[in-house]
Amino acid sequence: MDKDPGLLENLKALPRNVWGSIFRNPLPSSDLARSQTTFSNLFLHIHPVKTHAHSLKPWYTLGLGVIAFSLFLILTTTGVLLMFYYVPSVDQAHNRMLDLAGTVAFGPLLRNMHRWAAHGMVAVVILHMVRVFFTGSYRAPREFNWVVGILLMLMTFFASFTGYLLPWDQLAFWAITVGTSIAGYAPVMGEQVRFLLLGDRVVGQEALIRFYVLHVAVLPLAIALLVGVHFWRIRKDGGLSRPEGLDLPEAQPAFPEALEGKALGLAPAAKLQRTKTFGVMGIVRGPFSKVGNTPDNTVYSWPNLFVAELFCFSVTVLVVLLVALLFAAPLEAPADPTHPPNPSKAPWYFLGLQEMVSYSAFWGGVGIPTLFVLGLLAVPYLDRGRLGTGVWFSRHRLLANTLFALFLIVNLVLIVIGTFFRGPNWSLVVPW
Amino acid sequence: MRPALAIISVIVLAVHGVVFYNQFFARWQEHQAQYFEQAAKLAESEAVRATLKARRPAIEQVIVRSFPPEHVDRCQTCHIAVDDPRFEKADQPLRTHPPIPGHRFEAFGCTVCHDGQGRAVDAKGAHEGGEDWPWPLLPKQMIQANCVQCHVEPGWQGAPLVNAGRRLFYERACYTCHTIGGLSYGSIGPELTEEGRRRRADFITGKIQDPRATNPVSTMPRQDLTGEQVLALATFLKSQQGSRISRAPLAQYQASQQARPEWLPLSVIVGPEEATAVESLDPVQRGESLLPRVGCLSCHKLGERDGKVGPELSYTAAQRDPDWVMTHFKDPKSVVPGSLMPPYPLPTESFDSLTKYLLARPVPEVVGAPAEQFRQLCARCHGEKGQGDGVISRYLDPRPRDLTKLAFMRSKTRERLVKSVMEGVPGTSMAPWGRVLGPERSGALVDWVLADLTRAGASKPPADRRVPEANPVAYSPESVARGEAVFMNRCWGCHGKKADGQGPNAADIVPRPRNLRNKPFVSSLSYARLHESIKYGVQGTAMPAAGFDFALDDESIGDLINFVLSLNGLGAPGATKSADNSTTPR
Repeated sequence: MDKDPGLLENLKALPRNVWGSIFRNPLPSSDLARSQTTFSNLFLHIHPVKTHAHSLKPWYTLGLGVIAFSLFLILTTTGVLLMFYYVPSVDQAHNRMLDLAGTVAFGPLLRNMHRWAAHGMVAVVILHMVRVFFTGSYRAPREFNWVVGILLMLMTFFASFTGYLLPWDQLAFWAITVGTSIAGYAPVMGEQVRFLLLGDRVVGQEALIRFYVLHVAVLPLAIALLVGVHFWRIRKDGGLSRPEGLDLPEAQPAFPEALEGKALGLAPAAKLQRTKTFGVMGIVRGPFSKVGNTPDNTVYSWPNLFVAELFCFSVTVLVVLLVALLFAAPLEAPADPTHPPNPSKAPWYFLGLQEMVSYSAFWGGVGIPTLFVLGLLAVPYLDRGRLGTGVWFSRHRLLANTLFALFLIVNLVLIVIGTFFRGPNWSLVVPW
Repeated sequence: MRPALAIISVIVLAVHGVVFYNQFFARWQEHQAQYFEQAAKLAESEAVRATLKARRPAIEQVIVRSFPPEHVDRCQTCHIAVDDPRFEKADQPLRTHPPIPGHRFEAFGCTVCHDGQGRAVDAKGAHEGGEDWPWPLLPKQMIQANCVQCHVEPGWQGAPLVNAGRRLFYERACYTCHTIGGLSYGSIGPELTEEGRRRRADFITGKIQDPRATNPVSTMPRQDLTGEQVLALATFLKSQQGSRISRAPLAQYQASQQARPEWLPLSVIVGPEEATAVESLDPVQRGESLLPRVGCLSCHKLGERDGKVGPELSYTAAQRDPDWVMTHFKDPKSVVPGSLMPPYPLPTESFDSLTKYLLARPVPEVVGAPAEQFRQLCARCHGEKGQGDGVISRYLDPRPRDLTKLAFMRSKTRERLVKSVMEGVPGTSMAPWGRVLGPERSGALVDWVLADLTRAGASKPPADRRVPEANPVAYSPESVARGEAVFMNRCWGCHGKKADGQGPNAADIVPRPRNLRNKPFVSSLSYARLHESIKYGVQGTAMPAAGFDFALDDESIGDLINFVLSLNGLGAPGATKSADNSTTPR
């Protein structure tokens, strides 16, 4: 190397150099390369280099967190594309919807995907919470991540709710009228909150622009930020939850394959070979270093975790695509403030609320939902147990799981009644 | 995991193929390609042919700004040959549109006349407009409904169907219940001013054909209309679209600001020329001419014409006096509280001439055996077999009596039944037949009913009933209050808290409990009869013998009757008013 390469050599090496400058590492074939690939890539480095084998069991997580995030990505992508065509004006919004539903290239697909993915995200986020509860994963040290998760769920509801108004059809107009009037039942501040939300006393142009800004800027950014916190804390709280004592020597036979990495097509796990080297990344509290002193049930995230995540993402994309191809998103007549449909119904995830409101405006619309949210937020601070964490439906958590199941069933029953069994004037009807 | 990922990826790729195929091989592109090909064959010059061959499918649209709100019509994306006269015989969507002088596609587009959803470029989306689209393609035979959106001059000759529908709107008495801004001011049914903008054509047609199809508790009478009449009426209603396109906003505003007049001028109902002609006639002839045109016969029967909703008018001259008929015209509910008939928005002179005509009309002769008489006079309400289910029975309140009910018919004396026939039952649709039949034939008719319909054998009026002739309790606010207490304890379950016969149990009871606020009926009864009905019950109905079942003594029954009288303002003079106030229904 006494001479710099000439232009000719540079040109010859151009493709390789461009490629190499983009992807710093070749496809990894050694454990070191696997670590470095994960570590040095912006999109991968939120993941740990190694993942606990328990976290990769499909029936433990059901991939719900990844699916919810995938739906968020789909919604962001389709949403940005829809923004090119949408105008948040009461005169134009519905016409733009008609264009999207008919003439715009890929318009129907984009709109359908966005609509169904939004409903899907609400459902999956709820299921994700259900998974976390029934496996006791909200317990210390993950209490605050549960709180972040609840906030994310509420924001998901709100994002979906604000998006509901944008088509400016009868469904949108009256669902938002019903939904925001529920907010009006809050004591002291109810009317003011409603006015702040709508910018008016009725749903109109002011409400449309407010909902639009919330829907396309404020809420997605807030969700993205909180998702970052949510992911960050998973790592800082020690990865996904797993049963205590899983990594003690006597528990080892439970994961012999993972330990040896055979089932995953990897070389035997590093621990057996004692080839790991460590740099000091920080001062660890406690009497001794854990490095090398604890059994290691982890496997490399590349490829184990990434393939699983990609699989979840692909399945989500496929399902959303198929649903969008098969079912057109509803679009009713243009909003007509003088002719309410009977009954006017809120979006499905608020129909439980609407059903309760039909019994008592304050308790159904404000009192009980507030208690629900406060209760959910308080869960990890009330349940300080350790037994049964990281296992579905653990016997040690019978009381908590039963109470939560009851809570779910009550809400589900209310939603089903509100959706299928309520007819004109909110009277009981039989749907068949 | 990796094979699964590979499979999923391949499927996702395949689905994208479907997505792209749908986008780039749309039906409208096929239609246009077909048109270019056929047009090229018909082309006269080589240059034209070359141009057509070079054309690529593209979305065609007309933006119509002349008829606000703005319409964007992409219909010609498929219907690309609408202005090409060579395609008169082609199959849709490539057929030529018949030319209409003065209507250019560039200025009018398509949806201004045809409705539909002009922005869509697929057949279903454009024609039907998707779920709940209020303006799907207007059926061709109803297209005149949209012509009159611009051709607003009344009675425009180009829309005979709308004009016929407008005549039917009055002839069939629709105007008495429904409001259409500027045309009518009825307040019983829903307003129809913007019906055509809010409702699809098929909904309107269905509603006219069967009012109860979409609303099982609708009180709108079903009209006997031919297919053509239904079409005309539906087209007229579909044309009622408020200010959708070009009706002058100022005229619309003025119509909406007009105070509701007490009556409609005849010129609105029958048209200005006819109104002048009618007004030149003498009163009886004027009545004869008006009767079918203002809507009477859409419900009532007169001669051969039968609307199958209201009672027969042929015998009015022998049943009613002018006062009764005039009172009934002005407010039907004042003489028959359960009447379905709306108060007519006609000038008093018209009522006067209608009354004169009805009373001057010769009463048809009643002939034949009692069975024949029954069919002629009674069956329309009481039914062929006397079961109270005649063709118009569902529109009458109270319902016609079921004459086959043995327990009821046997418990009444023959005299009372004959009296009901001859004098009628005030406050109900039962008219007095005494002057039509005379006492002998009335008696024979009752005998025939008892023998052949009720099959009652001998009448068995209950004996040994002790009923005071006059109220043992003097009318006083205290007595009324005591009576109300008894009523709210024992009676309201059937008769209702308002004593209007609509209690919670009423729906399951046949015959229905009496409406005790029916003043003409209550005031026609003697004290003794009221007392007897309460004390001993009414046999053959759900009315129990309250004197025994509830152990009410004669004084309590007297209180109860004072309460019922007070509801109708029939108490002792002076006491009535305060009693009324103290018994406001809850």
